[in-house]
Amino acid sequence: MKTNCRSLSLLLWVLLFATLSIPSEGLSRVTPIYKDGKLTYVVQIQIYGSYATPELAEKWESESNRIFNQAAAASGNCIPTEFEIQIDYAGDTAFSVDDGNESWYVQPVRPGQFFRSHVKIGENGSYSADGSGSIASNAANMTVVHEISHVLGHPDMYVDNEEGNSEPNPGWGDNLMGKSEKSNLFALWVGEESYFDPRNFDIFNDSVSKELGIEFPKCLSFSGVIDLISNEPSQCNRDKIEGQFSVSFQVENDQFSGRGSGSVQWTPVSRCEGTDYGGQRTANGYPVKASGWTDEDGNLHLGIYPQDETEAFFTNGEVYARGSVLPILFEYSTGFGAPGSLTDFVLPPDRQVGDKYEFRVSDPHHDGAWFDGAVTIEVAGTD
Amino acid sequence: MKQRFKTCCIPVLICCFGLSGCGDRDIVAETPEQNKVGMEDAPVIPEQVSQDPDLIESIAGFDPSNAGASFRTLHLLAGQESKGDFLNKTEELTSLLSSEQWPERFAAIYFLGLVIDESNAAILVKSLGDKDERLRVMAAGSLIGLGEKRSIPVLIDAISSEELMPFSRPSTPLALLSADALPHFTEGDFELLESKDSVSLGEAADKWKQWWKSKGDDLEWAAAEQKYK
Repeated sequence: MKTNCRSLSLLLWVLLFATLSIPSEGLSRVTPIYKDGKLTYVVQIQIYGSYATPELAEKWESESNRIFNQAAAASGNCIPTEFEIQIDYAGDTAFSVDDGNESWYVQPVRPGQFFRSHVKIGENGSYSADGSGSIASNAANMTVVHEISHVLGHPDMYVDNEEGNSEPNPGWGDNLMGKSEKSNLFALWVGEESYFDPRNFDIFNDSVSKELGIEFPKCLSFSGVIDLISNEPSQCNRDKIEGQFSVSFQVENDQFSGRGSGSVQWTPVSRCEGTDYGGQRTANGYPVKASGWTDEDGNLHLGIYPQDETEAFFTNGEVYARGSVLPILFEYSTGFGAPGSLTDFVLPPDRQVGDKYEFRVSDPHHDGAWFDGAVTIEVAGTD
Repeated sequence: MKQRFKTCCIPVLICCFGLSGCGDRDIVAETPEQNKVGMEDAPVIPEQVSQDPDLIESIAGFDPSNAGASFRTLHLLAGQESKGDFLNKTEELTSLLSSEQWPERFAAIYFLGLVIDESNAAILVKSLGDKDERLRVMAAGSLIGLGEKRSIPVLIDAISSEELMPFSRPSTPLALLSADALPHFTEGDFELLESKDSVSLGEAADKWKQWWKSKGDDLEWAAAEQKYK
């Protein structure tokens, strides 16, 4: 009876502990919730120390949520991702430093004093076993976001050289986890924010996937390059239109849904004396949405929906065209099969990573102007 | 906190209940040690290590190629030095401040910047003359808020610098540290914070130099107000 009771007690303990406690070390700091194709990261951090305050916790929480969620929305990552960063004020001392909480000591830093903030990151780009760190009381928003990224399993993408200057890993010079250019002194001065891109979210997801064994849907990525010249009979108003976009799809049961981002630069390349072509506004950095489907022959139809409007104008300010960039182009074009708000690029079923498909536009239209150029789409990846 | 209570306490309560009902104490050793550090006894220092590193060895061993670990060690040591024990090692620390090895000087200045106060700030003053501008400015940034006015001209000179603070993330121009400190601890401003290009920054630097030339000798540290007047 004694043995049975002991066994029962153990069983009860094991069952309850397994149900209520954190599943493995560190994970109470980051809770990923994957539901209905959407991923939400809940990150819990406590700050403590004599310079920690409820106001500081609230400020860092608000700003980091803003930066993470704006970046996630614009990233074009195929898995829609949201962040709920929770930063709590613990007091002069931490609630606890070894119950799995991410505990940041707020280092008193006087104006002008240099302090290097840090948090610990675990091995293999995964969560740290003992979440802890020191953050300057006057840390910039981007410092806080950089350190939270470590909590999410993202390693630094730079190395410190012997002279103490940090050098970004190749290709990471413009990224929040690697940026260190000396050239943009005044960008640093005014606190210009550096950026995330889809690679950061891939790393977050890889970290979570490894740690929790979650399998995310496969992603199918495409990159596109737009290179067009427009012209009209007088040869006075010529436009050069260059752009790029990338889209990434979740692939489930041959159905595709995805998002993308990109930019288009629309530049007048010549003017006749007396003409007053003004240029174009608001065409940079517009995001695109994308959808796709396969037809019965296995062709992939890639639909791109620009999300941002632009307008072309004369120097007197008069607008002569307004709308999303691609529809403006395709209003004059029959080259893509589906003129109007949706562009429909059809890719064959035997496509491989690295394959490029060129969609030519050479389209005279009613007022004597024409477009000439191409949109080239490359199969960038299948996972 | 509720979740934390459930996590830690319910299994322990069930376990204790089971044990008392069964009268078997052998199982106590199997209880997980959860939440060893509570509200009352949590350390203020950010991290714990099993063996305390030696202060002088840690500073001398600052490794730029593994800067993250080296900084963590310095932060740990700074947390432990809150009692002012470093004052027993001023000779060794002074020697490190004069080292020919750049990383040693960097680490010594950085560590002292974290632990000194107005009563012992003098130990760092010699670094205001370091041959490396970046280290001079790091020392000055630590000293200006401690009433050491010899730090002011160093920070004024740094307004025109295009150097970055070593190991700073995000990269921090020395001029930004000056812009952070000078208007805060003095009654000057001279549009320093509003400068958005090298021309306006240069103009601001000239005004600061003139200000120092005319006022520097008379400035005194008003400790209560944390300002030079």
